[in-house]
Amino acid sequence: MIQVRELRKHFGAVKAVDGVSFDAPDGTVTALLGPNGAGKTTTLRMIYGLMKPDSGSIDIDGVDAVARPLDGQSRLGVLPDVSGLYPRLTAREHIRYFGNLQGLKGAELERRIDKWIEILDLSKVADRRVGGFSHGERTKVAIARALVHAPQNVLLDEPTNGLDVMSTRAVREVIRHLKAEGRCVMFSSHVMQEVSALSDRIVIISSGRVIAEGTAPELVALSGKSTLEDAFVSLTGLQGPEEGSHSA
Amino acid sequence: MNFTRIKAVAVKEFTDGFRDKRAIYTVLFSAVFGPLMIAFLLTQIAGQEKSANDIKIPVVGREYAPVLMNWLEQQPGVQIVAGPADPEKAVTDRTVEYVLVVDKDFAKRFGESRPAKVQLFGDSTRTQGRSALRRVKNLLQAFSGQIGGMRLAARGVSPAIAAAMKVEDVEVSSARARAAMIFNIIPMFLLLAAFTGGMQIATDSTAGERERGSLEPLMLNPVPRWELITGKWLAAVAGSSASMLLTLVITSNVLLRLPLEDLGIRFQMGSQEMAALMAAVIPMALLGPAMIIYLACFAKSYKEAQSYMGFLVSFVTIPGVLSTFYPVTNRPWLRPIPIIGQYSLSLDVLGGHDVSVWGLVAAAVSAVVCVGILLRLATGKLSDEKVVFGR
Amino acid sequence: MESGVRAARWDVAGGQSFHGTCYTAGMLRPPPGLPKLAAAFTLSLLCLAAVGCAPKKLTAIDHLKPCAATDGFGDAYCGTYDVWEDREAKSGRKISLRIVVLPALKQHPAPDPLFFLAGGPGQGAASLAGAVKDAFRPVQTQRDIVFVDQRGTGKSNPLNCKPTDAEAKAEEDEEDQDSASPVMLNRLRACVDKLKDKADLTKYTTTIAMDDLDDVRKFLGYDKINLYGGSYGTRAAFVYARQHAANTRAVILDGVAPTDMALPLYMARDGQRAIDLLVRDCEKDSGCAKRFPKLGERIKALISGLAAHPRKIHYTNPRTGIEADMDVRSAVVSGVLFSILYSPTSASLLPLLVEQAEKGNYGGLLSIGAAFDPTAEGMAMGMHFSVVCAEDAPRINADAIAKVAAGSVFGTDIADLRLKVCQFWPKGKVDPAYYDTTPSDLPTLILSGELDPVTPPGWGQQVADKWKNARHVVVPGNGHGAILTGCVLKLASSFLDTADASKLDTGCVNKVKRAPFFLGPSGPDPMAGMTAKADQK
Repeated sequence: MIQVRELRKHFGAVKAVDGVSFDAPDGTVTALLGPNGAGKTTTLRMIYGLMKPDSGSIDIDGVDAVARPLDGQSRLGVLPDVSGLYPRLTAREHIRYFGNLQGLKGAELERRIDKWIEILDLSKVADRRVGGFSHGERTKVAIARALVHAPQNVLLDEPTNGLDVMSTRAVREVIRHLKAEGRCVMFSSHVMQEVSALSDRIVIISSGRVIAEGTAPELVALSGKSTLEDAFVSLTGLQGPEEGSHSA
Repeated sequence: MNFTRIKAVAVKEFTDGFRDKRAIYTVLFSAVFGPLMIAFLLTQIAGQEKSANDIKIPVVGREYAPVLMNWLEQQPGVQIVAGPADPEKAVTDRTVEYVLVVDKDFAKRFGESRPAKVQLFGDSTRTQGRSALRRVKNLLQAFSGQIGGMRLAARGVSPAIAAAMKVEDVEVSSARARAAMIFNIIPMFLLLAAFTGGMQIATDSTAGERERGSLEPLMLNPVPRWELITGKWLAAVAGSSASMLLTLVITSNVLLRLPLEDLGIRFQMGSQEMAALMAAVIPMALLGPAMIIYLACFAKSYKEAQSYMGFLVSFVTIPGVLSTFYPVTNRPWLRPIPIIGQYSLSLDVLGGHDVSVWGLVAAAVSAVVCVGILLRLATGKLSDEKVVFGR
Repeated sequence: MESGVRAARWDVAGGQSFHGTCYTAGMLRPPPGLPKLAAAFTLSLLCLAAVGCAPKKLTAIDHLKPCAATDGFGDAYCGTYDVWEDREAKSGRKISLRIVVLPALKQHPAPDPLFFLAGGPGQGAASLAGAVKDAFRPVQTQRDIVFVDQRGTGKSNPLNCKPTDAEAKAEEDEEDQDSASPVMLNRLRACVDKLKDKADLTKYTTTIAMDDLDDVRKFLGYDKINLYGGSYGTRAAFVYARQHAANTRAVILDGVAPTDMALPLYMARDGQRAIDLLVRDCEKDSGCAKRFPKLGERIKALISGLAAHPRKIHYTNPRTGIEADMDVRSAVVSGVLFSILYSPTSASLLPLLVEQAEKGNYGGLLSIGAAFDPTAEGMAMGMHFSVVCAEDAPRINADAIAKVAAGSVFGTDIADLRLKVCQFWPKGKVDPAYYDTTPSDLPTLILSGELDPVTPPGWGQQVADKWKNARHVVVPGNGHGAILTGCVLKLASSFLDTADASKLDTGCVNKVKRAPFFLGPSGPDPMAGMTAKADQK
């Protein structure tokens, strides 16, 4: 369960996040929808503790993540917008490394590694160095290592960006699986289809603010349009690409 | 503090570095290049010293001074050979190192007790053949002195009065200290190995991590930044100390096989000296990687980090440059100055000076303090959002 | 030696640590490899420490300290070893023997050092270390060179009878500067009294001293040793090799003075031989023969003339430049002639000096006599007489002296002096067996200078005839002491490497020629000796 209140962050004169508040409850998939540069990534980065908000609060399972970012992090599993793998390590080593850093070890860790390799269908390449992996395989490795410590809350930044069909399916499978386990899942996306297919709740962000929040049908109703896409365009008042600010 | 996590980081970085061929090559290169260089230099110097024992003197006009030629030929290891037609050109062209030219009037002037002239063509800027040239000069002076002394005696004057003073050179340095002058390149290569050995791991795990975008995912883990830095540093330390150890082992094996005795210097590089030498330089294996890591935190890419390394390597040359105008040996108060302390300590070890355990400890402690400061600064850098995301 | 073992051990330590790190690096499966990495690192450091602290076998120089810079030995090691002056009683006074070791330069030197035994008797070996170290470099490359001041010499309770300033003045004023002068005899007599407090003069013979030397060998931890002896040192080497044959590996004798030499006795004969050779060589040399005809007769005439009628001369002291009158007696001239014969270089002046003296100009003779006096410095005359008076003098009598001196320009003067001193000098006991030149199997290289006036090749040949594994090399044109001439040291060095004299190629010594004679005050004929070699060009 993630609760964000009045979150603000500026880079120089640019207000990247300007008073964002929302809840992402357990057992729910929450989508962070917004155009490029709307402040999605910055918001996520503040949640997962790599950026300090100028003001506002973040509560993860009752932990004040602004004051104690490391405690917040241990309750989170994050797939950032870049996979950032080590070409000379194998898939298994990647998962093990992050498992170690999350404080896991021994047989328990190995069991979880095997589990994730199986879930993500990585068994054939598990002991190969990731330098030669396809984009999809890399994303799977990144997912596996982000989730090896079974976090209650999962953040995914553009998880299916650039993936092939099979990988995209696998990622969606994971998201459903996590939801089924009663975890709090949050992902950012600008792909409408994905958002409507996966999410229970949608938070639309534009220019660093939450414009609307609710289920897909609620948002469609709110905007008075027929499709979510139209609702999105209408709600964000999107004319073209917004200010190319920090969040990439 | 969580050692398991630090350990996990260190093992990962070391494995990563170990699988990196560039890392292995830099370690091997610095470990092999130094000793080869030392071997080459020392063989050259030894060969020169030896060449002074058996010398061939090219002489032009030997027929003008048989008395001198006969005397020279009877000196140990001296051989007279015909000199080149153009002595100056021959020396300039380096076909010979020196030429002795006897004046046509040698016999006439010798017979009249006037100074008979010989010319010794040589090039003082040349190191090759310098020892041999010196010996020829000494031989000529010896003959001149001998005949001169006997001429005095033949005139009823004691040869002793020709010299008003007896100047005695009292050499206060020990042979080992003088050998250390020649061997001072060894600590230089050891210090260099401290940088090169850990350089790949240190830069790849910091600047490289940023460049790959793997820093962000890494920092998503609930691990204090300083633990990450410490783990990375430890991996680089392993590389550095491996490189230093390898350099030392290869160097000592090379030294054992070199004809050092031809230098006329007794240099026993036993295991004790090596252990002491290692103890003197090992703090650099801690400090070198810390310096690299700190510097690499400023770099956005591996390549950029590499370009900073030239600057770091120039650090290694500082003590060498310093030692040319300021004596760094046997200066205990230099011990706590990083790099210079290690350099001076290892020269003292090589030179057979007394190196107290406290000196070693002082040098090590100051290096460790520097490591602490640098890692702390690097941790600060790593916590900077601009560093984490600003790629 | 053991440094090899240490180095090998070092290799192992290095190898292990590397194996360890490689092994660790290869694994990234659980349990995490860091404990192993750390263990390997710690292990290698421990190995390092263990190697560094491993007890090492002591070498000779570990018993000594680096010499002080002012000693002038360069990078040598100095120390002392105490022995009883009375070795039999093992009580009373102790003598601190001074030791100087030039350590081998090689990483793995030969285990057997070269012990350098000095001449005289009375020279201190250690005092010579600085002077010979450069020349002996080829030997030092391979092995330690050990110099021990024999008891009574150098700094090992030296038995000096140096004149005080006043005595020196008196002796100088006595004008004839003959060592047999009453002033000098008085001084030596006084010296016996003076030395009584610091030494029992009967305990300084060669036999005793060589037992000291074996103690030093043991002290320094050597198993077997090689010996180099020059002049009297050959006798010392001979005695050591006889008393401690099992500890001796090889011997180099340079200018042999055997135990049965009866030292001053044959000096007149051997000196005359050197004069004869000089005359012969002068006659063979066209320049010298023309310039100094009938040289042999003229030398004889000069000395016998002075013997009959000492000349009163006015001269300028060659050193002080002060003019004075003096009586020139035959002993003065023969003394100088004898001393300049030691080195053919100084001997090359002899014909010219004789010619000058014939004309009443003794300046040259007196000048070179002072310059080339081999006994001028560093000789412990007390020890000299303790050896000569105990070992040689008892076998000499006036008849023998007269017999040997007949036909020699040097007459009985040289031997007479020593005998006069020995009349009052305390004498140690010497076993009659001491004089047996016992055959020996030891590998031996005997060196003799062809022109040597004190230890001519005849003495060396005597030993060579009896010793099975001895090789006698006569260096032509060489005087007393051949080791530093031409290729001789190289020969000696390779002899020490193999301890087999029979295989040495000694041809190179024949390159040595007598130094050319001074034909005038300017020196030798600069064009003489245009050898065939030079013409070949």
